Amino acid sequence: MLLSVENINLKFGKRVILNNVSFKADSGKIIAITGKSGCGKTTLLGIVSGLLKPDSGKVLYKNKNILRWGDFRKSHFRNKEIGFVFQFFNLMPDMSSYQNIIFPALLRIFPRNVKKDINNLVEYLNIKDIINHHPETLSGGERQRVAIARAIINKPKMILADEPTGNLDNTTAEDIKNLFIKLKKEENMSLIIVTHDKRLVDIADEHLHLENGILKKTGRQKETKKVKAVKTVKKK
Amino acid sequence: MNFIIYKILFIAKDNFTNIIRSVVSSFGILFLISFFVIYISLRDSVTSYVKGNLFDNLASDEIKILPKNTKEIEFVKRPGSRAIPLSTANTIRKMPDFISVHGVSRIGFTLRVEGEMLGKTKRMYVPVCGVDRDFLKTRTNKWRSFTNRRPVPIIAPKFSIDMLNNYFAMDNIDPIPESELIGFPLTLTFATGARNTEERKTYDFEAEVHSFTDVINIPGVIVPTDFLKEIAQKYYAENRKSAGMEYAVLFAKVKDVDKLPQTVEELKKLGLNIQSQKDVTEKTSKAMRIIDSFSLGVIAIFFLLTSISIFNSYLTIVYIRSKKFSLKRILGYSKLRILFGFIFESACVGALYGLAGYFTGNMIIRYFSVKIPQFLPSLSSITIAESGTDTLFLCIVISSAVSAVSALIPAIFASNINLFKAVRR
Repeated sequence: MLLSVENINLKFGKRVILNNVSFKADSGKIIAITGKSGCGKTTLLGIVSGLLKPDSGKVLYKNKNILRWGDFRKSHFRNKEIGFVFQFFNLMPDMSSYQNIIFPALLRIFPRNVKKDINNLVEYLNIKDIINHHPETLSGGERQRVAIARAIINKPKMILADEPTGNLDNTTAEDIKNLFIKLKKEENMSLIIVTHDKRLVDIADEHLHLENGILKKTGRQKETKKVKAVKTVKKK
Repeated sequence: MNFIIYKILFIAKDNFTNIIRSVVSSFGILFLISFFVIYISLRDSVTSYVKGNLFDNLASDEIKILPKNTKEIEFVKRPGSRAIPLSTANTIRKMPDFISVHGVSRIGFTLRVEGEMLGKTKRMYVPVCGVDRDFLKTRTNKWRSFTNRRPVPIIAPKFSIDMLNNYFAMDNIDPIPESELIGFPLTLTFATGARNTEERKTYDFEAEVHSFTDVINIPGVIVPTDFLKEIAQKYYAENRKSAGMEYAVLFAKVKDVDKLPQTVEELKKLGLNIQSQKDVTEKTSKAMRIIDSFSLGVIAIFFLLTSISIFNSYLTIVYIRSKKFSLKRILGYSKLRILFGFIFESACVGALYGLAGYFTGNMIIRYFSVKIPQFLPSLSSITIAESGTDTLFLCIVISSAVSAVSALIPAIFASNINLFKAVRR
């Protein structure tokens, strides 16, 4: 098992945010987490990535509790093992697309040469034409593609996506959805997606719903076979 | 390898951009460092002025003996000038408490110095003082040849070289270096009494330039004391009148430092004013304490204001860049890296201001070293020198430290920012 979240509890004051939350995520699986705004979905992602500390519980990544790790190890873990995708893309505005993508790779003390990987990614995500552009000149879909490229440049095992299609039009959201399917199938990545978007829920292998701090399975299991990869995204 | 260089350049560029963007934040340091440079420079100037005007430093076993009610040495005899008579000086010399007693003597005659070069003759009236040969032992290398002989050796102040060369320049003569002026023949003419009176007598002596000095701070020429005594005796023999030979100051070295208080008491009974190293040190320290406390007070106020302003500026920067910090943390930056990055950035900005403050301070010093004597002629003898490279280094270090320390708390805020809140904003 790649990730196992066990009995997470978190309170902000008297307000219960997460109440005995547990779930598991394996490689090549998509987990969709839904719930009302402010119910604690993003907080849960923060805990999974080691950025937030719960009151109790465990987050086991490859059977190791990341909550016990120090900040340096957690940072390394985030850099190497996790890719983040956000609703508002969160690209560095003063950097070009290329620099945004390469940035996580440069954080390592001795960075590996990722120039070849970037070329592959550029082809893979169809962003060749915009690689030297700054984020403000790009459309929402293009920005999200660049953000996804940044998320996967270090070849992480897991993608944490927070409302990745929340700020995109239908067509672009559809593209991003297909890209996620591709990442799952071809790169064997595990994706944990916090979303309100039904399309993303539909492609999930497991759908979890967070309500009043309690995470419930909806009981619906997606047949991944039915998902079609979109032709427009060409594989290198 | 190329990729590592790319990484270094990438980080350097990112840091450089951030430093440029936050440059205004530490502007207050400019005032702090400028004032600090001015303070250091003023302090050095005042210290060297005090030392210079105290006629060189006194050793711990040395005392300075001045006439009663006199605080400063009066090298030039004026009406009403106080002095130590020769008889008193002789009494002191005979006291068993001292190893040696040397003085700066003066005579009640005017002195005109005359020199000739390339057929041109220059004459000028100058103050004259006599010093003992042994007095020069610790002050000049050429002390052995400073004896009462003919031609009479004279020591001139260093600035007279410039004066002389200015005279030469008026006659289109090239400047003459110091070494070539040594041994330059002169005529000394001592004159007694007022002009066109019967009392007026003149005594001419062949003399030569012995050396130039800027260590012994006498505003005139120096001749051996024995030479002045010789003139005084000659005058007395001819006129049965005193030549007014006396001492402006005596420097005495005591045998036993522990007995110094008793010796001082004895000298005071002779109606003399005594200064020991302790007195001088106390007076100097008092003056320096006033300068220091005022300056340090101003520096403390600047420091406080600067720190608060930097602190506020960096808090604003943290707020503005909170999204970027959060993103970096999410992408793999550790807290420590954010913290050190931020402090490094502020230290660099501080270093820039340290550099700027140093040059600004020196510019102000340059300006005021010209203007102060114009506005306050009494301070004209204080030479305010610009600060050196050691102060530059100090400025950069202090400035960087002030900036880094002021940015520490904002840096901690930056490293502990609520990540998801920030990236969602």
